[in-house]
Amino acid sequence: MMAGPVFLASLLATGVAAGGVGAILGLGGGILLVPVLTLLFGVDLRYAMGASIISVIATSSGAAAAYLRSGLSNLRIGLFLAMATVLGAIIGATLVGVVPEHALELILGLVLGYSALLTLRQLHVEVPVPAPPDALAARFDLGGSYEDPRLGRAVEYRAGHVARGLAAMFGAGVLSGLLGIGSGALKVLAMDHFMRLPMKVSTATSNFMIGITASASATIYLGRGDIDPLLVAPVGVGVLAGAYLGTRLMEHLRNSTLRMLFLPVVLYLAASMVMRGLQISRPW
Amino acid sequence: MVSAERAVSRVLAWGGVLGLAFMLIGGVGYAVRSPELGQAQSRLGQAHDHIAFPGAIRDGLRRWPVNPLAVETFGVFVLVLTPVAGLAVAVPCLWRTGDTRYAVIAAIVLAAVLLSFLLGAHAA
Repeated sequence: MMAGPVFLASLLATGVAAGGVGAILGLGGGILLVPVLTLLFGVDLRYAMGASIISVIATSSGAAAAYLRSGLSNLRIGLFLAMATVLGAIIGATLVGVVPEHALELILGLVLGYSALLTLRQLHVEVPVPAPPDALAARFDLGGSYEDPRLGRAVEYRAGHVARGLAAMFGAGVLSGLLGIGSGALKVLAMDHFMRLPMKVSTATSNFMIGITASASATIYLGRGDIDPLLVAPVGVGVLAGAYLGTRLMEHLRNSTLRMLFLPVVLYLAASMVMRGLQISRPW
Repeated sequence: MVSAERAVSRVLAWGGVLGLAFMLIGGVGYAVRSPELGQAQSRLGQAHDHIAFPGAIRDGLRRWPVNPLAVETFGVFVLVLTPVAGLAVAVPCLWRTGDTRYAVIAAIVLAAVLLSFLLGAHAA
């Protein structure tokens, strides 16, 4: 058993790593936090999940604050898509116990696996080919530009296939409410694949959106007493510091590098979901 | 006039810092008052005393000396409310800049999140 200061320092370091990964990939960091807290630190799963949901909010607050300032996170696209996500999450939460969860997990795993293949196909695409003009995108002004220090120029973009993107976000929300997952990966994939937004804009906008959906779920965790403040404090401080560092790093990464980092995470999530769906216990 | 992006960015940044400050102050206070807790990981992340939400936070903060766990849990609560505060600030900022369409969209998202808060509190 680790001594107190070493244990707290380890929690802090875990938080920094989770916050950094979350801020760069738009996922919130729970994917790293829950297995590390349960397997390495022996933390009870319900408290690990409570810490994870708070870490998502901390990552989102730290990262989205920086990305909104720099113009990487698109507030209007985030708000427009959040309508579908939050409504989906509410409907999903009311369907718990009605819809067979394992079948949904299997479907989600297969969808993520397919998305991983799509990501692999456009792994080296730096700036996506502009999507054909979309009526909804024009009507709601779903586009923007950002300064890319890596490319040394401003990158202009406009969302495409908005209806498909909205449907995917609604689906992500329903799954989030039903399965208790953050669904940050689905949000990034929907913006990247369907709406043809640059990867950086997708992950930065996802960072803004996941905070909104996580705060809606966090009240349930708080009410149930699943959030251990003594665990959350060191993790949260680390996550916020990690998110700050992650945003600094992400602005200087290529879109293609982001995809390369994102791919193994999606593959891991796909495998986890398929195994959960087939009710096979994971070796990790 | 401050843009909506900048206003929301400020709320998110300050909300995050404020929430974590309360959590740290509460954590240090708890470690000082219960030094055995800081010695090992045995009680961290395991079942132990926690502050029920939200009544006990109010009671814990009203007493003197204040209950450090209540201060920590209040910090968690501030952090949880931060994205919602960001939305609440976005509505008037977008409205003032003439972007009424997105002010309405932000208000719809805010209403949906508040509805899920109510549903969550009811479920808990």
